[in-house]
Amino acid sequence: MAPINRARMHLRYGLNIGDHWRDPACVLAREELITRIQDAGTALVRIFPGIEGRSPDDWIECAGFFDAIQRTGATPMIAFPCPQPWDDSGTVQMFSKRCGEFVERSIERWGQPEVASWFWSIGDEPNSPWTNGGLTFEGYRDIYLTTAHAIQQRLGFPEGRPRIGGPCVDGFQPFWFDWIWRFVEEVDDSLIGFVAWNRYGDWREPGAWSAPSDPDVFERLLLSRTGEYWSRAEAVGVLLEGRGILNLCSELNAHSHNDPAISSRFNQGPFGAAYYGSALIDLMRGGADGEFLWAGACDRGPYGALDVGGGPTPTYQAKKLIARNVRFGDFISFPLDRDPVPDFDAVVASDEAGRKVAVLVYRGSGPQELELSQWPELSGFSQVTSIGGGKGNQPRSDALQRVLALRGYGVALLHNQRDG
Amino acid sequence: MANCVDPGHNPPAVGDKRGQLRGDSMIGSGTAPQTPMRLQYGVNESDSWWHFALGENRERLWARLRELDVRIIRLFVFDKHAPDPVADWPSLRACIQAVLNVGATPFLTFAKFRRPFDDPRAVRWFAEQCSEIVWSCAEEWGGENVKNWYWCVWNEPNNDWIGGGINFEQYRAVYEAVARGIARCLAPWLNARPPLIGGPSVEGFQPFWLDWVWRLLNEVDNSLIGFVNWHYYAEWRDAGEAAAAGDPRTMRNLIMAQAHQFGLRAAQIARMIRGKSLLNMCGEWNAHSHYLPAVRARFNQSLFGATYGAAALIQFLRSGIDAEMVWTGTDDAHGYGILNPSAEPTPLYYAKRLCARHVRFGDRIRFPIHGADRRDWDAVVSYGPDERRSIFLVHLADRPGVLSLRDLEPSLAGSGHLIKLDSDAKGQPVVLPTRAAKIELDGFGVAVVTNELEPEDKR
Repeated sequence: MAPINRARMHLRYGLNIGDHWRDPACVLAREELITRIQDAGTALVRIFPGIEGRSPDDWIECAGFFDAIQRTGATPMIAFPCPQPWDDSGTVQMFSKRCGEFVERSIERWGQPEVASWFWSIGDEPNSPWTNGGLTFEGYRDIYLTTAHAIQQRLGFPEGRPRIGGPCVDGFQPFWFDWIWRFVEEVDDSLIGFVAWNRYGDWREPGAWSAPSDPDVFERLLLSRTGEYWSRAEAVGVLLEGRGILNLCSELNAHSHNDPAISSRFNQGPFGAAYYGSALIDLMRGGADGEFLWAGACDRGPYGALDVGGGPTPTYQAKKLIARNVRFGDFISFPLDRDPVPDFDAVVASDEAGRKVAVLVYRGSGPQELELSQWPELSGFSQVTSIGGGKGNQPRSDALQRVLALRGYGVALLHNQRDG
Repeated sequence: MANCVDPGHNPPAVGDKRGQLRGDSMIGSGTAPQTPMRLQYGVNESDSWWHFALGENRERLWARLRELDVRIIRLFVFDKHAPDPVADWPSLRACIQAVLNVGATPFLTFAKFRRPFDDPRAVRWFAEQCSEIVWSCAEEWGGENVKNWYWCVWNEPNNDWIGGGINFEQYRAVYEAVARGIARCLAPWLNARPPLIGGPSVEGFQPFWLDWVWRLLNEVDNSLIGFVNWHYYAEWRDAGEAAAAGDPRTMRNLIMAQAHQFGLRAAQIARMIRGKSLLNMCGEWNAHSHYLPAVRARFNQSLFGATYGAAALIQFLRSGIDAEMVWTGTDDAHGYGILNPSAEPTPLYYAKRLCARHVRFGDRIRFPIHGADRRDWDAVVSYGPDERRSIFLVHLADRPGVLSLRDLEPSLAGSGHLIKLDSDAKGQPVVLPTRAAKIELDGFGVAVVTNELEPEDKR
């Protein structure tokens, strides 16, 4: 029987390059970095190159890094945060001029067709009062229009719409949707190629700012919020339907606190793998077009899926496992929606060639068993490859039994020998 | 919903994936699956309770509410100027009796107390007060009736202004004490069935509002929970206030675009309660909750409010939730209500009446609009006994729009009666003299196409 919620998968996997990409340690790790990014099925890479007050050497360094990104096969998204002071017209003019020059230099080096295929993102959490210096939507819109025109002019008129977008809203702000709606409604559609939004599960230390102090409650509650990726993708999707504008989650991870002692364990351990796996399933469910894990690499802090030396975390392994097996264009369905089990979520992917896999995410900290025959779509697999689930942080493959047993947060791929 | 190939089906109570592939046709055919309509219509009776319970026009108010098929009415105790249950039991009794006279089930909210939340004696005192009210109700109206009433613990505990600054741990202790007391009172009549007690009546503007629902469900003995109650208003700011859009037209369109939130939030709650026998209720909703009545009245008590409310009702119907309670029914100049003390309706009253009259409990329903059209239109088609068929439709855009009826429900194209509530209708629905093949609205508005016109429709 065909699953009734079958759909085409159109999520492109991506990652952010962290703030330390100029660090020598990151540069030294570049070859390994390229391999890791390729291995994770990465289609999109978001980078903040920085355009203010840089010497020619900076461009050379930047170009070298972009060469490396090109070798991964991923499409870059160039992120330009809004200038400050945002209400000084000279500063805004200088900003849009520098963005335009960046595009020009890129075209000189890599050619117009290549550069026109890149994504150009204007604004980074412009709605966040913590970082925006009082920027209003009207101010952002003016910056966007000036800069998008400058970029579009340099890109020429590529086939289709220019891949320029924003505003990469901070998803913790209560009226984040206002910025998305106004961006789409108040900027000419011809100047928007994508709409982007950021979403983390929490920013609070356990016990602070009304967050639960009990570690178990905090973790379970944090995992319960991955449904927000579905509801936000869906809310933005309604706004974009029929407009030819992509719906991108430009930053995601479990916890955005900048103190590693607080947030590392949520982002970089088996918990992070389960959170990210669950978020990916909800983004697929919500019909998002792309996602960018914060951060994929070059991050020394508590977010990186790869450490400075390129070593993988369970979150990276989960990304790799899912991205390589649930592919763009696959048919996907969500078998547990009709017959749910607490703490589990799943997506089944198949293609016209008969390849079929299932990804299961377990969001519980204790042992749990799943009788797979309860769901016809989860039957007929012979192998399981898992990350976490009490079986270590590296992928481990076993023969699949009738019952899937997991002993903690984890991601499991059900497949047959020839698939997965 | 975004990513699916099973369009037009009334979703089950989960995060739903049905809808259509991107770029597919926008309007559903008449063959999409139908599901049973199970939404109980309701209202709040709060600050203006006196008019509702004891005012000279109370019987007219009750009659108006009966026309809305109101099945559930939310009342307050201990807040919102509600009658004191001890010092003024006759007034509270009159309030509850008024609900029963409408033919609805009372939903009593024990809103808050003003003693230290950490003091076990204060919690015990509050729980005893609540139990005494339940017991008094059982004495007055009989336990067999009262066992089916709803009892809600606290109001908007996640909002310090409204809920008094209680934290979740304190709320949990209060909830359990109150719920155990109520359960004890009703035990003789429940036959081991769980009592209809719930919470947390979360305020929807707070960033972590859903945490309160999750924590209630995961940290409180589930045998003490019968329903989850949540609130949603699209906005609290006036145009230009606190970083809101300065242009009033932008503000209205932005609010209208957020009617989808009702469906998304309902589905988020539904995901949390799946597998549990709990009711999913939106206990308070309206377009705007500005702190000044004149400001919020512009949004809530106008044609705009009627359109937004109609969109909310369709979202409730689509999401499969169990009850909705508009804030509020009777209203003496507070800027929310659908009836004034003289029982004169606002446009939202008429929109709600059109919905209640033509989309009835137990009907089969489906949702024919998908894709990009969802930004401008929403609709529900209902199928009742004796071939009764209706389309309840809302136009979410403030510019002219046209929809072909053949695409929505072919059997009504060219033969259905058309009722419109729009800018031409001067705040009241108008039955058009001709049978139409299409619906045209000049801007925000609500319409019904039906093969069964009731005499009341012509009033």
